[in-house]
Amino acid sequence: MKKFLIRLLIFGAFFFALDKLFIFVRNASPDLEVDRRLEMIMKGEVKSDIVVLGSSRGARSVIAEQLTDTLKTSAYNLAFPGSDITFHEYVLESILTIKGNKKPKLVVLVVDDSDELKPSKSLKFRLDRMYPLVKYKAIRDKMVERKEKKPIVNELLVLHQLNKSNFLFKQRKFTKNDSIMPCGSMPISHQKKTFDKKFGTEPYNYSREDELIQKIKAMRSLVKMCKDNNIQLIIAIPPNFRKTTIGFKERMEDMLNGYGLVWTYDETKPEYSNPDYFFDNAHLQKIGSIVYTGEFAHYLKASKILNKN
Amino acid sequence: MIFNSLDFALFLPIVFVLYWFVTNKSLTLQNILLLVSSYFFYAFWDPRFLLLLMFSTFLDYFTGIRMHDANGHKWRKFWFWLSISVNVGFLAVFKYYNFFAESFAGLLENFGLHVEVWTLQIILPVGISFYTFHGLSYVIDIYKERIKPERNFVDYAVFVSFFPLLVAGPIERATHLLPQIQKKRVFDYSQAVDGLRQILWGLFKKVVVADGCAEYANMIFNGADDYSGSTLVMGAIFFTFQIYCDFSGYSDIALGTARLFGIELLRNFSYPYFSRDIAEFWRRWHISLSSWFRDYLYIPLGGSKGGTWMKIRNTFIIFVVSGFWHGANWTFIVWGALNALYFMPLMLTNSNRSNLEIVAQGKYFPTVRELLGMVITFIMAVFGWIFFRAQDMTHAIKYIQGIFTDALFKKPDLPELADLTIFFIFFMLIIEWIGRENKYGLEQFGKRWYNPIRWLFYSFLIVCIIVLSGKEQEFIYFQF
Repeated sequence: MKKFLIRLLIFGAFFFALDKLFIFVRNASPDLEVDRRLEMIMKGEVKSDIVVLGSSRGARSVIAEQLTDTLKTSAYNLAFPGSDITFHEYVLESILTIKGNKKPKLVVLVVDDSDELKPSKSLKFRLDRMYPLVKYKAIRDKMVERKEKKPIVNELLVLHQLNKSNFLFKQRKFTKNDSIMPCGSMPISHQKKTFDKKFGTEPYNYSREDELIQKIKAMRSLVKMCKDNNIQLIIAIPPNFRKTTIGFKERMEDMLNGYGLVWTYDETKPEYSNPDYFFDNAHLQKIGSIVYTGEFAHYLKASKILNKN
Repeated sequence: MIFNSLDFALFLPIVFVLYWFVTNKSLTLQNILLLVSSYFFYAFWDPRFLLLLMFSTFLDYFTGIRMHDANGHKWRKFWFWLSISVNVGFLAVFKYYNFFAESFAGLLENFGLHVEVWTLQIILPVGISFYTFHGLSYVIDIYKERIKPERNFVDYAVFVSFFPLLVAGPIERATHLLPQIQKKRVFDYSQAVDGLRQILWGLFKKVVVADGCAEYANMIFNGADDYSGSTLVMGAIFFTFQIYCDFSGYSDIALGTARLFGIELLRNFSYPYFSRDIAEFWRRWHISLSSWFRDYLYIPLGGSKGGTWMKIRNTFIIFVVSGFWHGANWTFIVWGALNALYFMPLMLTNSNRSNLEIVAQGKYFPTVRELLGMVITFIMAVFGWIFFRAQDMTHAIKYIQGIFTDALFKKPDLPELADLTIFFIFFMLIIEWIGRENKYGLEQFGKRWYNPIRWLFYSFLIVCIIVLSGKEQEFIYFQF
């Protein structure tokens, strides 16, 4: 028995020492990434007055550089394709809590009509975007908070902080669909092959029935963060290649609970029913994004919302 | 509590230390400790069902004694059938009631009769199929006078509830496990080291291979309409390795854990994917269940005695019941029936026992004939697993139809990281091929290596386990 326990202890010590070598793997991971926006937040390098949050619709529809040029105010797009409201909330929380970041004057939350609060296969909390950045404590803490990692083990073992993506050791590259402009936006300049180009005219009523409680909580928390920090908040609904969901805008207004406002595009504009302006049924392509961002910038300028802080 | 959890990583050393350092002077105390920790282990998952387990244990213990002590055959029969009906009744209620009620309603619907059936909104108590089968074999063996009843309740309860086997087997026999529980255990260094090594290999198979495969198998099966034929084939292959590594990984951890306490459990897997025909496959897959059905169903039905028709009938019954044991769904029944069909030609030509020895024994590589046999058997198994994994028969049929399209020969559409999982599948297969003459893949692997090299190899396995363990994934067989 004594021999068994001693050998077990020696092996444990050997493995504990070996584990520390993986710090090199952990620390090298961020440099292999092509999308450095989340790391900017971790490093406290977000200094813009306008911050755009959202999923792929936010990333593709709003060109931050165009907002900057029109409004003469710095804007940056921090919308992540495939992310849901719980992730957007985390992005804003990180901007506000990590030292060095500037508190924005305006947060533009680009929502998904009509999946924003509903279960979705394509929208999630983007843990895969976080794994390359586990060298940052804030990321590790979030992993533990989300029960992705165990609290004490996460402190003791470097290996427990990693996942398989940290071992790819390959420089990631921009793809046709995921190229990032210096302003953080990700417009696309082509159309999806399977896009049927048929404009959806069927009226569709929004139903609250299958909304997810955690998504509702996340959105309420995001609104509260803006309110507590005196940040202007606009929920922007971008166009789908179909009619807007009836009742979705009202639901978003409910979620704001009196703070901030919901902005919708001008449905009568011919561009929004012209397939040439769309990538697929749910996303604009670059020429559409320019029209949409122009309309939004014009609204911001006219409403003088940025002068209210 | 599941084996691949931090809770278990804390639980196991505590019980180990108490077992060998605190209660080691008394066998009774050791067995009480095993029983209490087993009940704690089970209650950690859901304490409500602990009462069910305790009741089932007490019932079989009590009826076993009454049956043995009964005056006259009538009373023996009474206690026997009481135990059988209650045990099977639990299974029927918790596992099969909804299936029968819905199937019955569906049948009436075909005749134009609409019936509102009352279904139960209950969850399946984990391990019920396993501990019920423990109890059944014990009671049947006493009835058939193969064994005498155990009169020490603690010993009997440990036999039913010993935590390594409680929730997913192996399905033990009283003749094998009870004598070990009744005998004083002495710590054996090599047995304990071997146990740890088997746990390591089981965890590797579960966390690295099975959970890795599960990610892609789930993705492809859940979105079958969106994938090409070749990707669907890959989905079925991923599931084939998922189910093997999940269940055999669980069994390795169970056997390894039991060894740490000086107890040897029945072997459950013996490299089934290296089988040369389907009969050999079934001698190597979930061995404790196959042998249970052979001893308590197939042989009482007449086995292979009698005419050809009798053999065919009995084989179909055993395979279909075995499929149904896995769950109340037509997919499991079809999976069982399909395997019976695979088995038929071998049985009818009396060649079902032609591959009894280990493939390519004493050699590095199999012959071309052996390799061909292994490949064909593997393809048959993969096809069968599609039914096992599908949500229902419509899903299974659509999945199979999706395979046979023009895109069958296109490059499968898999995420970049799937390559890593494929690498680990091959890694696991190589280790198991090298170790196929041993009880488990890693048993002798690297044993002659210089110590630091061997430790580095074990460290590599642990690194893979830690890095690839995300949220704890339950074992597939917990649901059966």
